Amino acid sequence: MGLLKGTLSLSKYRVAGHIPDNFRNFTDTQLKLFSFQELSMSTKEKSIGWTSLENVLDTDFQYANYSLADYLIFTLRIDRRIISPSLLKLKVFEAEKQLIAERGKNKIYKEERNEIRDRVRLKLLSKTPATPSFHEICWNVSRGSLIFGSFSEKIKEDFEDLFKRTFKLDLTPFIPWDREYMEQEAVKLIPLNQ
Amino acid sequence: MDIAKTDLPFPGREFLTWLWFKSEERDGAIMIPDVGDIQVTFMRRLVLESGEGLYSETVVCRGFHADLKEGKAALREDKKIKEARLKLGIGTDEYEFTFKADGFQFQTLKLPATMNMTEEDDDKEGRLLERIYLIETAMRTMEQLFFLFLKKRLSPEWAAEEILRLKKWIRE
Repeated sequence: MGLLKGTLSLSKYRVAGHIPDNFRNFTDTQLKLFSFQELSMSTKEKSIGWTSLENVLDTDFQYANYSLADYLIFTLRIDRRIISPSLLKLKVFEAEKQLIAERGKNKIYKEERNEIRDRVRLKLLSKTPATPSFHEICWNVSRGSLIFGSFSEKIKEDFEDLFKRTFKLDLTPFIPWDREYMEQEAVKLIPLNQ
Repeated sequence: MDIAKTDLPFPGREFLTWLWFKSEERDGAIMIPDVGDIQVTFMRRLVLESGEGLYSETVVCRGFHADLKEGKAALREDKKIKEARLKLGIGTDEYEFTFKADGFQFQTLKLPATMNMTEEDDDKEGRLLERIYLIETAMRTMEQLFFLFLKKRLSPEWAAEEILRLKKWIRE
């Protein structure tokens, strides 16, 4: 997003729900609990979790380095293993050819074809390095507003899911024509009686 | 204010279309109550669309302010602005960004240069807070402009004056 420098692309959210009395402790525990974990060389396709803003390798959040004035500021890291469809197609084709050569007959059953595809896919996944992406979060807790550094629908879905699991709060994409928001906030922004 | 009363399928697009018209009324100056005049400039790129899904038609226009004639032509075909590159002048600060009307989102937002930007490691937190303040100012200003539009859209003045001026501007 570029909170520290450069240009930014961002979406805004409203955060609602019950904030516990010991929210700072709760936040600290939950951020660490849902912090980013490296993908091992397994066949897992995706890993998602929180890291600190300034150092995306930091998942310890020492001295509550995510806390600044009224804001909680941290980063969402998503690592994905992406297999090129053309590579998968090629490797499946090779495996099918090999099976035909071994058996000496051309026919491959649908179940066999699916099994080959799954096996090849898992093999490729175990060899494919993950591609990381980083998306910054700036959350004003007292105002219940949050800025998120992406508007990709896929990334927003991942973010909303992890945020809700981490903080047990409701998260709604912000649009100013949301009826509830207009009732609460519009009058503060524009004096309606002028 | 009740958005249901406006019967707007795409409030963001209606707003952005109105904002272009409004920005040309007084050479870019738009008065926000309790804030004062701010400058709004439509720059380089406009995306206009009519309909939705399979039936949508999109036009992309590039060019500087005065050269967005194709944009006006698309408005005459009842298309609305879905996306625009905007420059906001608030006091002495200038912000530039692509505004996505449907989700009220900001793309490649360029913030005004800040006093502290040349310093290296001193007062990182102060610099970050300053940038957050600037981001929030840009977002709040767009919200204020939206509510200015909505207030106008829901008032009797809309049918009596504003829509006539807007239609005249589109025809020009």
